[in-house]
Amino acid sequence: MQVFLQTFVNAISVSLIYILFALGLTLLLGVFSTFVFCHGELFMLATFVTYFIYGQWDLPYYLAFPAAVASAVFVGLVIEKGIFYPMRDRHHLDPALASFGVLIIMQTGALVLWGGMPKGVPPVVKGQIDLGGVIFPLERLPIIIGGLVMLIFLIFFVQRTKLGLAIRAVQQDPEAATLQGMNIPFLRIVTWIIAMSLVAVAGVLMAPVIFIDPFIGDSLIIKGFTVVIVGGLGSVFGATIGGFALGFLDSFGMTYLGTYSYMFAFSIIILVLLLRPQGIIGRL
Amino acid sequence: MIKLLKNRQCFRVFVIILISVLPIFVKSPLYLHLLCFVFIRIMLAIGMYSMWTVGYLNAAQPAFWGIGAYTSALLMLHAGVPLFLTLPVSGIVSAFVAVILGYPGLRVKGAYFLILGIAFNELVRWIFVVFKSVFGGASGLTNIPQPDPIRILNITMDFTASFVPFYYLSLILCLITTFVYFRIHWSRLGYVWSSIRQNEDLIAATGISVFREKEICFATCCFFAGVSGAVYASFISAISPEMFTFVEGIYLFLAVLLGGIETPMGPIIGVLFITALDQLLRGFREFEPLIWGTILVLSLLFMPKGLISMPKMILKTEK
Repeated sequence: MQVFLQTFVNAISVSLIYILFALGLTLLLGVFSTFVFCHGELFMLATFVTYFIYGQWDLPYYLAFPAAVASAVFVGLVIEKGIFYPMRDRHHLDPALASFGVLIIMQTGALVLWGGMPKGVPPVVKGQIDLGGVIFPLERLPIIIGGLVMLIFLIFFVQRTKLGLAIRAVQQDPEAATLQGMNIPFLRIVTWIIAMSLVAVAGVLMAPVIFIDPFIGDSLIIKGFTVVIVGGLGSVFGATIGGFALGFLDSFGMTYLGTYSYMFAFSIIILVLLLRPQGIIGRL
Repeated sequence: MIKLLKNRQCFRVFVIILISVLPIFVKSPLYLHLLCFVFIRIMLAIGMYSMWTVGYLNAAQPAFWGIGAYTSALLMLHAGVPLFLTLPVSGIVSAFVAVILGYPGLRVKGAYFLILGIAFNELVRWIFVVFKSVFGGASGLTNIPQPDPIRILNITMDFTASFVPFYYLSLILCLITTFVYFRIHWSRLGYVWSSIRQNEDLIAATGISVFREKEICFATCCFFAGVSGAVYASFISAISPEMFTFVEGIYLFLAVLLGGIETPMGPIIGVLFITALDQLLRGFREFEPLIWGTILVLSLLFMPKGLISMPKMILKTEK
């Protein structure tokens, strides 16, 4: 029982990590109807910015947020203007492949610039709470709070604002949206800015909890794709459900099944794509 | 002579003769090894090209390659089956797995199939790692035997002594693959495949079962991947799951993309180009992925039809 409760507490924070990472991905997938492989590398960039600002230069932690967001948005806009926008009329696999090229470039670039040694960022919040035998490390608190705040912000943005409505319209039918007079290039840029800000904030929040190296994007992007595929195309609500499903499966699998749980993400992707390609709550 | 070479048929025969007598001039085992590897990779790349013509990127190609390699290696190690029998068997096993995966899998859209392929590839690799008693775990299978010597006329082909017999074996298999794909390309099947990529709904409306065509394409692609895996296993005599990562598949597709995606000639040129470049870049191991990534992005942006279209493009601009 003790183990079960402990796993349950861990599963919640793991789920929020996955959700934080996947929120930007699901927006991008919805608007561009392709998979953006370099999403994990932007996360890596944000964690490295945090490492330098907070860990190396001893600046206040909160300064990492604007710096990481600015650098991620900059890279995102370069990708949009340099690769995705010129390829807008091509087969939808072309930008996906190009984003894989960006993944390779960014990963190797980070490896050459900053080395492959795992780096640690000192924790921002120290200590832990003992909830009757179940230990909850306080350093995970910012992730949980930040994750919930971002989730609420994104749901509010997508469901309640005019810009969010426009983005949902573009997700459903880009041509009909153009005919309604929507400025597609502008909306694409807005999508990139929001997605990049989300992933940058996720990176800054998670930097103190994980070890930072150029390859952290690799495992996260697979988790992100799993969450997005389970949730369905471009659905924020679906991504939330998918994140919790994967987080709980991962944590409990790790506790009770050991290394076999490594393949949960892949098996889930295969099963969902084979049985229900539109996602668990999605419509086709 | 030049007049003869201008004839396409004669030119092809000339090239094939040239490749077949190459081992007489190339004595260095390094280059023979490299050329065998080129032939094996062409068999894989041409399959990926054919999947691309129906609008899919088969990222699971290394997995099917691995399935072929493991099938052949296990048969040779435990049952003592000769390589010439395991070649078709491993091809059929790969194609069988492909048909099963494709039955539900080929109904999803292209981008999703890419992710499905990556997931399937990693799952297969994980199966190779976890079932240690059968597949040898992370260190894989070693001591995979070479085929017995063959005597043709007066020449004995000893597979253990030099790379020359493997050169001819992989060359013959590669030529068969290329021949099959060229025949398909200029047949009804090829026309249907390339039109699926352009407009799937229209093809479905003319009464062609798009799904069946895709399934045939996928099975063919994976059959040759399996055969190529069988040669590969015997050729390098030790295989491990690390060789079959999906990134390998992406690099293979980079070759296809570079060569050109219009005819089966593209992947061949692409693989040759990539291998040559790989040899040139041997001094910069650290920066190598950087260069591949840049090539991938730039070729997608500025050269979507590949190297094979370059002469045409230059000629057109000169006019």
